[in-house]
Amino acid sequence: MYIAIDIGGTHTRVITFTDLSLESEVSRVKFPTEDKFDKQYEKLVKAITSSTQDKKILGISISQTGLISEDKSLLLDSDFCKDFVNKPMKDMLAKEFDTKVLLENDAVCAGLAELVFGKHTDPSRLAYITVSTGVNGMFIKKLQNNTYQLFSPEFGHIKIKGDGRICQCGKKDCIQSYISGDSLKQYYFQNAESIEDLRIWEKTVEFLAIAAVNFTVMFSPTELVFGGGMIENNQYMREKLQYEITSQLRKKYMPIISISEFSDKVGAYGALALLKLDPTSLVF
Amino acid sequence: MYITINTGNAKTIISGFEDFTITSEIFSDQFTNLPAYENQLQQLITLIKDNTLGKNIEGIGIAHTGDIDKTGEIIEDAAHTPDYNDHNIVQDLREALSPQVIYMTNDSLAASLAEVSFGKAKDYQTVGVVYLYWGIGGAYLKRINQNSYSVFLADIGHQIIEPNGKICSCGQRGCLEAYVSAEAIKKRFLVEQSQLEDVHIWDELTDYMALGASNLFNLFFPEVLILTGETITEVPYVKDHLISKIISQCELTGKNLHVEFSDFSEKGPTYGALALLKIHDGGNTITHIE
Repeated sequence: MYIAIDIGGTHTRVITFTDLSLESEVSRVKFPTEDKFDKQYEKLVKAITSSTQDKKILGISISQTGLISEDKSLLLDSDFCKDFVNKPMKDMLAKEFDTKVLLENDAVCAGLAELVFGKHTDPSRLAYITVSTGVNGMFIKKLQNNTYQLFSPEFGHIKIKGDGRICQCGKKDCIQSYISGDSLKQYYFQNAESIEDLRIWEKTVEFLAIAAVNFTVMFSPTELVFGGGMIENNQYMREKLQYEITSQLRKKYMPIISISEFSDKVGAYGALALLKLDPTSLVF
Repeated sequence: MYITINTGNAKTIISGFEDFTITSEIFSDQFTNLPAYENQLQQLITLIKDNTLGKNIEGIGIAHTGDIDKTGEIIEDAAHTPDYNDHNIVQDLREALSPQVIYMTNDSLAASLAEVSFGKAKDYQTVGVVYLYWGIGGAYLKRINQNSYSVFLADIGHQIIEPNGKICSCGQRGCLEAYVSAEAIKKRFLVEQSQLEDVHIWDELTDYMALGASNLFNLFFPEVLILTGETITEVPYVKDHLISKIISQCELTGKNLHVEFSDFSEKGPTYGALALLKIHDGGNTITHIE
């Protein structure tokens, strides 16, 4: 059995597979991400134990929101899982289940999910942007000999001149402070799914498009994939995004634009992709 | 003798070096770019012949504005000198001057190579470079070994920093270049940047520069960010305020950042063209990620 875990700012998903293919999924558990690490760990162990029912676990892989250490052992910083920072979750799970455990940033995992399991025309330079509770992005360039160069930038902290909103990082005008679900809630006092005023969405999609343009002129992706609940669950965002990017970005850089088909499973699928790929094939 | 050609958006500088050190420069000559490619080529050939006086040319390194094609020989998308586009300047100079080797790269990348080879970035493994003058360029370099690099050219001048902002020469609206390049400054305020003295304007322009540079950092996380080009290094207000503004805008959790001004200013691409020859001479490589 392989266990793929996606720890997001709002929910945690634990998906179990019998092999390293998406088709082999056998169970799925979802629970609200706990604020406290101890409680979160307890729930994780319970979810894994109930999913595997004493069968041999060949690997566990975790997609985690936040900044991961260079040696991929610890969460160093997170806007949403602050109590998890510097906690040895990876080692604890490895010991608990006597198996290898991998840990990676959630945006990196989402990009890997698209790279390994996505159906893309030209993924040789693949960019992935996700907008949900937070905002993130990553870029994968295929090198020779089946190796990949990965860039995991602070996409949410790309800046444009806005109205000076303060981001969770303490700086002003980060793109995250204009388009994330969390910031919309703070600014308009309602959950994103409750916002019906199209002027708010118009501004949100405009800022997202500009951030995507800036990401594109920096990395020149051949394919630009969008994911995350804020886009996938919002018809206006989905339909307007391509138009906004096309009208803002010069033709020379125009990538193929698509919406992820993996929905809220992209992080867990990426964790599975991480298990499938030879870790030495990934160059950061 | 090694010859370097630095063709920027407005002028071309030709220099000669005895060896691969920047202190071995033996001549430097410059002229305003000529609009027609053939005239520019003839001027280059004439000046190089006049300065080398028949001596053996061991190598020519070219730092050229615009994009360079994958063969490294053809100029593409040189916005300010469109007649040069699609010409094989490497082949033309090879036939006219018979150097032992000739290499060309983009001027922003050349400025970056100068920093990692001879400048303030030579002791770092990962380097971000912002080059700002008539146009704007950016690059991220990762050292593979002492003299080999993987490089990523980032078109930072065309990141949009002002929604629905000024129309840029590229056709987009609100690009960084439309606000802070020397060309944009001249168009907006009808004076050369050296004559612009209003500190309120420079304060606003420095904010834009800091925003653009911090975006380069937030995307690549280099250990050191080198700031170069005449608009950065020769304007006192920018020199006094830019570094602190950049640091105040970067997301630094779990990361370290050093920001330095280049010592090379307009000579950066020239020294970079020499670095290009030095790198190839040692059998080292520059691997383009893009």
